[in-house]
Formats: sequence, C-alpha cells, structure tokens
Amino acid sequence: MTEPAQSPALHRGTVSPVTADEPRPHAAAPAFGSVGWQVQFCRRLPHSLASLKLTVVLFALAIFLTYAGTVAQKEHGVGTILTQYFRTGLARVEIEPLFLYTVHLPAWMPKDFYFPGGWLIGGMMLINLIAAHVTRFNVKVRGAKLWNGLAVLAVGSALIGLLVTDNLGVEPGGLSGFTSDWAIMLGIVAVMLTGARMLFNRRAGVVIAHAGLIVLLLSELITGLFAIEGIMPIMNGGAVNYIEVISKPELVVVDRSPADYDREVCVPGSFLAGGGTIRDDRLPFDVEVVDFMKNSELVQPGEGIVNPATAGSGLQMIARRQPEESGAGAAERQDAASAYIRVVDKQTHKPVGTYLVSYFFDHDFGARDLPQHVTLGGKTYDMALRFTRVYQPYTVKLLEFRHQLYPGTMIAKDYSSFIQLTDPSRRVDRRVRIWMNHPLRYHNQTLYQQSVLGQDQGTILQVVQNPGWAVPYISCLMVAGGLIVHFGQNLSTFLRRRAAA
Amino acid sequence: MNPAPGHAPGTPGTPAESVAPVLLLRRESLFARWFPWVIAGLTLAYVVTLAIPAADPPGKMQIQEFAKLPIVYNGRLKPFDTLARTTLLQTSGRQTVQIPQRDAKGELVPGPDGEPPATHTEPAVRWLLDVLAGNPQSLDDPILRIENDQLIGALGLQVRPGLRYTLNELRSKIGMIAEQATAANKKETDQRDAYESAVLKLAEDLQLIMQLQSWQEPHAVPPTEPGGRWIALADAAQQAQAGGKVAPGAAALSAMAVAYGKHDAPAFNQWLAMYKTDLEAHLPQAVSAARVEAWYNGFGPFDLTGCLALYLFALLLMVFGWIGWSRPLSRAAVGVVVIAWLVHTVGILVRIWISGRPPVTNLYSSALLIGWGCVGLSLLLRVIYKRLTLITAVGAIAGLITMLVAFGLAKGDTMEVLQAVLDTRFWLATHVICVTLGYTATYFAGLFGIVYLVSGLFTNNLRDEQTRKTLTRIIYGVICFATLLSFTGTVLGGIWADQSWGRFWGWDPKENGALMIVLWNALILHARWAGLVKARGMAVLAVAGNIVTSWSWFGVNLLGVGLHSYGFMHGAAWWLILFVCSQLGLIALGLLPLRWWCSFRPLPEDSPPHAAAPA
Repeated sequence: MTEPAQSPALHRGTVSPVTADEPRPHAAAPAFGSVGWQVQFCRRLPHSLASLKLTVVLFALAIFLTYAGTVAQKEHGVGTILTQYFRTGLARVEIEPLFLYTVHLPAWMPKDFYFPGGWLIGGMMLINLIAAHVTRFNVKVRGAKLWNGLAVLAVGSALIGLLVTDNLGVEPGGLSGFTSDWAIMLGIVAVMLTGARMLFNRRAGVVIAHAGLIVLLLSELITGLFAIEGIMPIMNGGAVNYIEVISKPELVVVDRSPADYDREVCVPGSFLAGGGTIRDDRLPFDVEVVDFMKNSELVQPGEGIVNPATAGSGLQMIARRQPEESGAGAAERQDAASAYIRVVDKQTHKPVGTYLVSYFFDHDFGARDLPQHVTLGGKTYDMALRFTRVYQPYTVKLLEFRHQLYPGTMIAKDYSSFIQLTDPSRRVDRRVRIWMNHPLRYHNQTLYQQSVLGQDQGTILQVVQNPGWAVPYISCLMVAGGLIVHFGQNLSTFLRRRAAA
Repeated sequence: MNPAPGHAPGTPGTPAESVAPVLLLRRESLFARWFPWVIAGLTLAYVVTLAIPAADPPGKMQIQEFAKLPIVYNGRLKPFDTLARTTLLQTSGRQTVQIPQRDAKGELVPGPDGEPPATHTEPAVRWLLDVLAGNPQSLDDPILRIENDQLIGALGLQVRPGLRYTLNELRSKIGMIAEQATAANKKETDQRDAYESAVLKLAEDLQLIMQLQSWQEPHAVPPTEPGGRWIALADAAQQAQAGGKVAPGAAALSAMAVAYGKHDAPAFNQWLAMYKTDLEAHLPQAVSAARVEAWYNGFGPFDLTGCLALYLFALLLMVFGWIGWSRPLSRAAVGVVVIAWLVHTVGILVRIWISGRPPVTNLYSSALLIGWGCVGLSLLLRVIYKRLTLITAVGAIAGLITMLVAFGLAKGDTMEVLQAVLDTRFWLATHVICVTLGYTATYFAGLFGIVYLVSGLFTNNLRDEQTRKTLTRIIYGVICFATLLSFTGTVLGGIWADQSWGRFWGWDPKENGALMIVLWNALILHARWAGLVKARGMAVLAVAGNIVTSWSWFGVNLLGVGLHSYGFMHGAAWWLILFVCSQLGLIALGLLPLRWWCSFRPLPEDSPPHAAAPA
C-alpha cells in the first residue's frame, strides 16, 4: 500500500520506542531445528509474544467474540453465554445471531463454529502484556535512581496488596460518592506513577496503564473462579439463613420424622443433568432421572401429550421442555427447571413411581410450595426441586418492606428492606436498612436490594461474595491515571511546539 | 513516547510559508469584512425572538399564563404546557394542533375542493384547555396519528396526508380497539406484529386523552399543607361531593375550565390571577420551576427551529463558501456555530436545572450531549488550526445529525423520572457522562476519518501536506482521548454495577457495547503504533468506529426490544442499518487504490514530488 502522509524515516521516528526494540532480521538464518535456531527462537520468543501485531489481532478477536456473545443473548441466558463464549478456552459461536437472525441457514450447514474463547483471548492478552513489560518497557536508569524507583514501586504495590486484602479500611460502601476512600486509591496510583516515572521517564503513563490492565484481566479471572452470586427471598416477617443460587437447581429429599429437626439430602442439578441412576447411602431410595429440563413450562394433561409421571402432582400437570430464557429479553425471566424422577426401592429395585419435581412447585419461584410425598417403608419423604441453598452463619429477618412509587405512576422510586441481622457466632443482633445503591456488607458478603417478592409480600435480596472486589477499582484508576499522564504529556508537547512554531 | 505523528525528529519539514494563504494578500472589501458580523447579529436576533416567551394580548384570555401553572404528571412536577406538548407529541407526533376552521354557527368549514376542512395552527395548551373544559369541538381535532395502513383500513378510515384522525372518527370503534389491544397486550413485546403494536399504541393514546377528559390526570390540585400530595381534579371533586372541604386549587382550576368553555375571558383571567397569587405565596419553588420549563418549551432550543436550524444554516454558509467568496462565508459560519453552540449549552443547562439531574438520563439527552461535545470540540480545534476552515463544517454536520437524532427520539416527555436503580446522581454524573463523551470523541474521530477519505478521493485538498498532516493528527489525537474516556466510562459503569448489584462485570449487552468501543479505539492506536496502518488506514478504521459506536448506542437497545419478526425492522432500526451501510460504503471507497484518489493521482505535468511519490 502506498502511503502519502509520511516518509518511512518519519515512521521510524514516531514509532521508535515500539519498532526500535523489535528484533532485526538477520542476514543468514540458522537451519531449522539446529542449536543456533533454538537459541535464536528462545531469544526471539518474548519479542514475538510482545508483538504489537499480536495485540491488534487479539483486540480484533476480542471485539468479534464480544459481538457474538452479545447478539446470542437474544436466545440464551447470560449464564449460558458465559460458559459458551467468555469463561471458556474455546467458544462455540452460533452463526444465525451474528446476522441478527435475518439469515436462516439451510439444514445441511453447521449452526456454529469454534473460535478462541474468552479465557484464551484474555490469557493471550495477559501474556502479550507481560511480555511487553519484559521486553519493551525498558528501564532507562541505573544505580541509585534505579533502586529508588524500585523502592517507590514496591511501596505502591504493597499498598495495592493491602488494599485488595481489605487492610486499608477501604470498603465498597465508602466508594459510592466523592469520599476519602477514593483519595486513598488515588494516592496509591500517584505513588505507582511516581515510581514508574523514576524508572521509565516519559513512558511511565503507558507502563502503569498496561500494568493496570494486567490487574484488571486477573480480577476477571478471580471473579470467574471464586465469586458466589445468589439471592435471598424473604417473606414479610420471615427469616432466612441461606443463599439460593437460581441457576443451579438441586433435588432435595427431606425426612421430617425426627422430632426436632428435618434431615435433608441434596442432589446437585449437575448430577440430574447427567441422567442415569443416582445411588447413595444417604438417600433413602435410588433416584433415576427420567428427564431433566433446564427450562420448562407446565401444561394441562390432554390428548396426545404423553405424561411420564405415575404419581404425585405430575398427574395433574405436565412439564414441557422450553428454550432457555434470553439474557436480553424485555422481561428478565429465569429458567424454570423441572425433572421427572423415578423413585426406586433400594432393596427390591422395584420402581415406586415417577414423580414430577419443578421450580414451579417452589414458593420462591412459583408462589406455592408443592413438595412431592414419597412413601416408602412406612415413612413419608418430601421430594422437591429447588434453588441450590448455601447455608450461612447469619440469619436475616425481614421486619418491613417498603415499596414507593413516583406519584401518579407505576415507576418504582424506592425499595427498602428493614431487616434484623442476627449472628450468634459473632454476637451480632442489629437492625439494618438495605435499599437501592445502599447494600449491607457483612461476613465478606454484600447484600443488595434486588426486587420484590410477589405483590409486596416480601423482599428479594441479592447476595454476592467476591474476594477480588477492590481489584477493578484500583486497576481502573491505574489505567485512567496512566492514560491521562501519557496523553496529557503528548498534548502538552504538541501545544508547546505549536506555540513555538 | 509517541508524539503526534509528524513531529518526529528528522521530519523533512515543510516551511509554513510555502502554503501561506493567498487570500490574506488581497485586501478585503468593507462588506466582506463586516459580513460575518452582520450574519452573527441577525442570528442572535433570531435566537432572541425565539427566547421571548409568547404572551396573549391584555384583555384576551391569558392562555399562555395558564400554560405556566405547575402540575404533577407522570411523577414529575411540570407546567401544563409540558403536559399539553408531550401528550400531543405522543399521540400526533407534533407539539401543536391543527384546529379545523368553523363558521359563525360552529359548523366545520369544508376545504376548497376536498373533504378535510381548512385548519389553523394552535398551541398545544389551547387543545388541552379544550379537552379539560369538555369542549365538544375538541373531538374534531386531528390529534391521533395512525401510521399502520392495515389499522387505518380496519377502522374504516381513509389514508390521508399527515395520517392524523379525530376522536369523533374513532368514536364507534372504541370497543374494537380496546378488545384488540387487550389481546395484543397479552403477548410479549417481541412477539407482536406491526398491526398489534399499532393497535396497542392507539389504545394507549386514547387512554391518555380519556384520562385528561375525565380529570383523572394530571395531578393538578396542589397540596393544602406543606409536604402534602398533589391530587387529580377528579379526586378533589369526589372529596368535595363526599362532604369534604373543597381544595382552593380545585375550585380555581374548575372555575377556569368553566370560564374557558363559556369563552368568558374576564372570569378566566380573574380566577387565573387569583390562583397564581395563591400558588406564589404557598409554593413559590414549584411556580418558578414550572415557569422556567414553560419558557424552555417555548424557546425550544432542540426543536426544528432551534439549534437544528442554526447548524443547518452554518453548514449552508460553508457549502456556499466552497463555491466562492469563501473567507467571509466561512467566518460567518463560525459565528453561527458559536451562537448555536451557546444555545445548545443553555438548553442543556436548563434541562439539568429543571430535572435536577446530570445531563444524560436517556437516549434523547445522550444525543444532545454528544452533539454538544462534537461541536465544542470542533470549535476548540478551529482555534488551534485556524487555517483548516473545514473543521467548522464538520462541527455543523455533527451538530445537525445529533439534533436530527434527538428530534427523532423525542416521543414524549424527555425528562421523565428514572427507575429506582438508576437513581444515583454520583454514578449518573460520572459514568454516563464519561461514556457519552467517549461516544462523542469516537464519532468525532470517525467524522474526520470521513473528511479525510472524501477530500482525498474527490478533491485535491490532500495534495497539501499540511492539511494531510493536520487531519491525521486530529484523528489520532481524538482517538487517544476517545480511548481514555470510553475506558474510564466503561469501568466506572462496572463499578456502579458493583455498587448496585454486587458484580463488576456481567457481560450484558450494554456493557459489551461499551467494551467494544474501548477495544476498537485501542485497536486503532495499537495498529498505528505497530505500523500496520498509516494515515489512510487510520482514517478507514476511524470510520469503522462509527459503526461500532452506533451499535453500542442504539443496536443494543434494539436487541432488547426484539430482533425477530417486525421488532427489529421498526423505525430506528432502518436508520441504523442505513447508517451502517453508508459507513461500509465509505470504508470500501477508502480501500480503493491510491492511484484512483483525486489527491494522490499523479498529475500529468509538473507533478509535485510530495504528492505523487508513494511513501
């Protein structure tokens, strides 16, 4: 391509910090596989990994993946999108959504193709960034200056370490306005920038911005691996001591015969999805999965509809498989899981009956509790499919729920939950108000006001536990600070030159 | 590290004298020197006439004073004027009403050769008063715009210019409309076809008007004690019938409606004056807020006659300037753009004051801010690069397009209240503004990308090295700041989400859209630094940035409404597709070999070395 704007010499000049460090091609390349080639390969590898061309390619791949993962949300829940596109090494990209569903592929054509996934692209970006730091962002100073700079950076890094391990007294709640907590963060970024300035001079901004990006990518990794997200629906006056994970159903078998407690045995939904028969000593009977539906609807039995159920509520209604709920739909709806379970006697191996269990039979989803009663050996067990429960050391009691509207409209102005928080292990017993943008932080978890249960019958709190919550804050400030320093420096140079000219 | 391109040591410098403007050498005539000032003065005078509030002559019914009275409607304090305008805008697509002419007996005067009677334009508030007063003639006002021809047919009506129909024409069909709307309402938004959506909209419009007719809306009666609630006139009447006290506001308002119905101007004005004095004593803040909003409505900085007309005027001046007499015309254009931008600024500031919120709360206001940012940036660049008069045209185009987008988006009250979750000033103020300015900068770079491609392809302008460098430098610099702003805005959005929902990043469509802009800007910068693209390549990539930004701005919203069946093919979607196609066309043109470009084609004789030599 011909390019009129600048001469090659000029390009060498403008882009010098980047291109000057790229390895120069040698006159005679050593033979492939020889010792010389291997040495050269090892010497060149970091440079290749740090290549800006690789960066550009990774950006292009990331943009495409993001687009594909966005349009596919029309037909899939965001949970599916995460596992199919973003939190995976190899994404399976569906083709029809890419054309906004305007094109319908003929049957013989594949519906999807494989593409580098979020983990892979993100990982490569991380490697690319780290390699760039190693090979390209060269320290230009020696001696005492070098040590001073390193010391300042070490102090900054230590402060970041203290911050993300919650040792600086900075809390997410303190960051919801212009507060001193922000000042602490800005101070840390200033320390990092100063250290980088001592080592890298005019490249300090770029170095810190890219370092911030490394931290940001790592934080998405931490979130993907360790964060827990669930809900806590509480009826008015009710008390709850567990978090429910909606996207993960579990089959629970309850033995209510002990006088002072219930004995619950839970089977994770992933076991049900696998199908087959589940045998365990803790279960009073064997569980054979006839059908498991990630999303379903209930219909009335009628002619031409086969009913797999032979006992329980399944005789009155039939669950039918439904496509997954969209993550982008106008109505944000949850998948309604259902399953047909054949209960088999452990001793005789004879089937007792096939039962329907469903989210629709759970009051947190279908507004009624309808456990299936299984009688076996003179004992009655309750069997139900419900959100996976994660029990907590604390209990939340809903004292009052307030739901205010803008005058003359149905638009919500405020949802507030007034709760009593009790935790015997920490001797905590206090009243708390949780409302929009004002969550409760407790036990390394954050409880947010999410929505309302039925017609103001109670509240739904969202509970999140994310050990890396502070990382995005500091990394964002590092990137923004680095870019401001860098671009500001360029701008001032430019303006000075214009003034001089 | 990378100074703006073209500033590296060792650049074969181009002496500025070699391109010294020729125009300066010639002495301008007095007229040419004063022309820009005359135009600026006229423009200013025009703006002042817009800003002077409308008033009725003394002795006549003081309709415009009535329009300024405060009410509460849809959760927000506003004047009657806003209610009248937004209701009409929603039902008929415009802020005024065409009232059919009547003869002395009150009979409709038929048009010259057809059925539709001749009409005259009246302010929206007159229509509102007709409705509130229960004036039967208001049933013949064409205020319901029905765009779906199937529906027009089903209602037994004829397609007519303007597609606006009267309540009387629909009178016998109300049952049918209600029935079909109920059926359509049972379907999910994205499952409805065009007909069903149209029926539903018509039913909603009818309901809106009926609520006004029956005095259930607006909440016009002020509270009697401080901190109390505004109530509807119908409720106040009910309270009075039940033996309660008649709220003084209710008495005054209903008396005004009665007086209006009887064309009794003195009584109307008397009640109005009394009511106003009373309100000013008890609720001075509400009165002044409503007054300001009524003034803003009348001024209409973002109506067709406001900034939009001014930007268009500036652009026309620039276009004429390219034909001839360029210096005075382009200077005049700068003056007009400055005035338009000031009006734009005032408009945004008044909106902030009225709503008590940061400038961006919905798509409409984001269009206003993007336009404001683009025009402001162009004025700033015009100060830095005085020689490149083109910048003014770019600014005017940006202003014009964003005003048109905003005009298309204004379908009702543009300052409506927000869902509880969005109601945090701090995050709205930081995240949304940052992201919107990021959009602004990306579009601005894209506009200059277009300028680079078009002037290179079709003109000889890029033969001048200085122009070429300046354009490249602007694109590069603006992309740098676009990267900074869009990154910061996107991450601040993540932090807001973390504060509100406990998760930093959820990969939801809107977040992804913002992320794509960040990635795209970063891609351009890194491609530039890697030497993969140079001036032309960067211009092409910047144009593609327009597509990415539009996807994030609008495409994502369309995704939520529904891509299937008719959903995606409605209004805004067509414009989006059209825009994307135009940008793809420009990109294709930009990829043509340079020898086909006007600016880089070798000249047959005495070719200047810097233009023809491939670099």
